[in-house]
Amino acid sequence: MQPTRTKPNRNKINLVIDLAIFVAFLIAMSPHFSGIAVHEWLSIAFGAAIIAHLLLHWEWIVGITRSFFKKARWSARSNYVLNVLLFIDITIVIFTGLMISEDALPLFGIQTIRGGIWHGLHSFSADLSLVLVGLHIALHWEWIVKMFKRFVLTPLLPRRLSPQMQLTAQPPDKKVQP
Amino acid sequence: MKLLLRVLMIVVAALIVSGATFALSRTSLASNMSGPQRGQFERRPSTTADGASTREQASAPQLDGAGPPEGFRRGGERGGGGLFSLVEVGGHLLVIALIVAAVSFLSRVTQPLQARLAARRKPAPPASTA
Ligand code: HEM
Repeated sequence: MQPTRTKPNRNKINLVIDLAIFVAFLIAMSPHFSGIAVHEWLSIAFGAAIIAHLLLHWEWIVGITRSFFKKARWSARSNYVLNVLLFIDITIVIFTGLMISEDALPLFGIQTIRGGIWHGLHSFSADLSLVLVGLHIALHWEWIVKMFKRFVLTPLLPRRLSPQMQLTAQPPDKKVQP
Repeated sequence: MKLLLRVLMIVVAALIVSGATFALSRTSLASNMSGPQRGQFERRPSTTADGASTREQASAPQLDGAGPPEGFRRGGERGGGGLFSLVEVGGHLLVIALIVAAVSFLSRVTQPLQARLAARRKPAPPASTA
């Protein structure tokens, strides 16, 4: 007998990765809270998670890149511009973080620059990323709420308590664009 | 293979941004940004020629008024934690929540306007000849 393989749900994967990225971002934003070693290693892992996030939304990126100057809707265009700014800013935060690294790079014998411009840039771009991440989340808020209801609230709540949610929830295999 | 190519494209894009940042950091514009920053950890203790740390100097009270109260400062430790830092996480969460609330409010308020604009953009249906 053939073993039945269930296809992983794309929305569920997106929700889990996005949630992990968000928690990592919050921790990375507070190096006083995490300690500097956790801050650096977590932020490097954060960079890898961002790559996964982009790969999962590759079709959207390619689609809007192609139609940006032609027939894309204004909401998609502004979303795209915000995402490009966010990518640039997060890259700068990670790059400047590596330039002032106190734990991660020195571990490999790489001497880093202390303080000065790089610290200032790191701090400034991190502050800016808080605003950009806020806007990014705001633009996808409907999707986040919908997925949270479907994959977290509905399975957790007893069925008879959430008839409204069952009505609003879509079949789990249907992909919803964030 | 396709996946590898996509990862490569993302990495190259990140390298371009990093290269541009590095190049910009060499300009005079960048040197204006290297002043003291708000809320940063206290200046890293410098090391004397014999390798001994001059931490006492570095952790002298700062009079700029920026950053956490002295008692909550990292004090040169490498670990994190503490009440102030938890408040910091909450503060960041609050900023994001406020942005989400503001954008949701704005899009709700401007919804009728957006609908009207969308309707105007749609071509009028052809007049019935019957
Ligand atoms: C998502 C990525 C990152 C975010 C959001 C972030 C955020 C921050 C913030 C908010 C600060 C405090 C700045 C201040 O004192 O005003 C900081 C400091 C710092 N970060 Fe990052 N960072 C990230 C990535 C990195 C990476 C990849 C490294 C190194 C591998 C790094 C190393 C440092 C160091 C060494 C400090 C300075 C600590 C000190 O002042 O002694 N960061 N970061």
